[in-house]
Amino acid sequence: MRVIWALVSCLILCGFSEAHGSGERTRIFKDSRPLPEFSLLDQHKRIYDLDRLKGRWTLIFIGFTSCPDVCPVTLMKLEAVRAELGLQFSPSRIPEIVFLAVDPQRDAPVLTEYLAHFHPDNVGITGPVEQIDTLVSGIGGFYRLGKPGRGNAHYDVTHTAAIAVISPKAELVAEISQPLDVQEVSKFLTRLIRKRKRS
Amino acid sequence: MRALLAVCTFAISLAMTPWVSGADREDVDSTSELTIADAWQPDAPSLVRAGYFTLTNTSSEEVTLVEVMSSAFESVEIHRSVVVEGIAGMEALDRLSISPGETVKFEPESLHLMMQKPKRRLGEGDHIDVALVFGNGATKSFTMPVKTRRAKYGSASHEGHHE
Repeated sequence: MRVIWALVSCLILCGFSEAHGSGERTRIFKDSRPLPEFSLLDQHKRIYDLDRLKGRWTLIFIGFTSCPDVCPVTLMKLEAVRAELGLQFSPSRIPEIVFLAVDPQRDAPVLTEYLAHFHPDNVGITGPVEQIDTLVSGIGGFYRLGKPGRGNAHYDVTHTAAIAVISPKAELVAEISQPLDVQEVSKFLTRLIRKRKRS
Repeated sequence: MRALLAVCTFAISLAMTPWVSGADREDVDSTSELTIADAWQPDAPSLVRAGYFTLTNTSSEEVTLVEVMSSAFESVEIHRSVVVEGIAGMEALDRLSISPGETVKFEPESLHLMMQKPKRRLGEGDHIDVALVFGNGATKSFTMPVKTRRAKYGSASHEGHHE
């Protein structure tokens, strides 16, 4: 199943190869891509679906709660981006940060506690594998659960590092690659949000 | 004969003490030619935590880090966060060589300790013991304070340390 997603995400990436960007690590897709229907739960056990995406900007990134290094740093950096954007925009135009936890077996039991550790406005979502896969595919992403290591139940999760930028129409419009530079990302999103307001 | 065997065993165990007895190893600091700076662990809600520090080899010989231990965790591994063609993952390192005079940084989004299953509840202000074991038998022990990322960086906006 995940191999299929890998192929799908490759096809999507190829399809977007004509996309242009405003910098090395940010790119705006030529054609906005509506996200598919999906249904997941947030850290407060509320349904998180397409309706929650509509009407506001959203930054979705794929991760997992057992990730000790990159995932928490990404959350912190995106919080810093939100703080920067807060100087430019009213709260309703500042993107919501969504942590898409793709390892539900380990993530679901601890998601509430995990998110509570960060800014209260952050959203963490997870749920059934097929629903996760639908959204991951929709944002052109990929993930794979690894195998437990030597004498150790821990396994790694490899996943798309980029942040998906979702417009208030619930369309994938841009992506931001790692490593994130807070100032660069803030400027990119400021331009994007202003431009879309005019168009 | 039995007495002789007992004496021999005792002598051998004494000779081997710092390197063989796992429980004692971390209390032994056998080299001053390895220096540690900026050790810290970000407080995290997860059973898997990161550990960061800077290690400098001030000796004239290459040293190889072969094991990391901490009595506060069930296991500690040396990991490196990598992004290959847009896919994020981690690679485990069995050993890490440090040249004479070289400084190696364990830092966010890069080389780090992956410390699993804390044996007690850890939070800001706690201190964790860490022992590095090297291929030449040397060990280096130090204390790693637990800090929130905000406390460490002053504010969230300072976390963006890339460029």
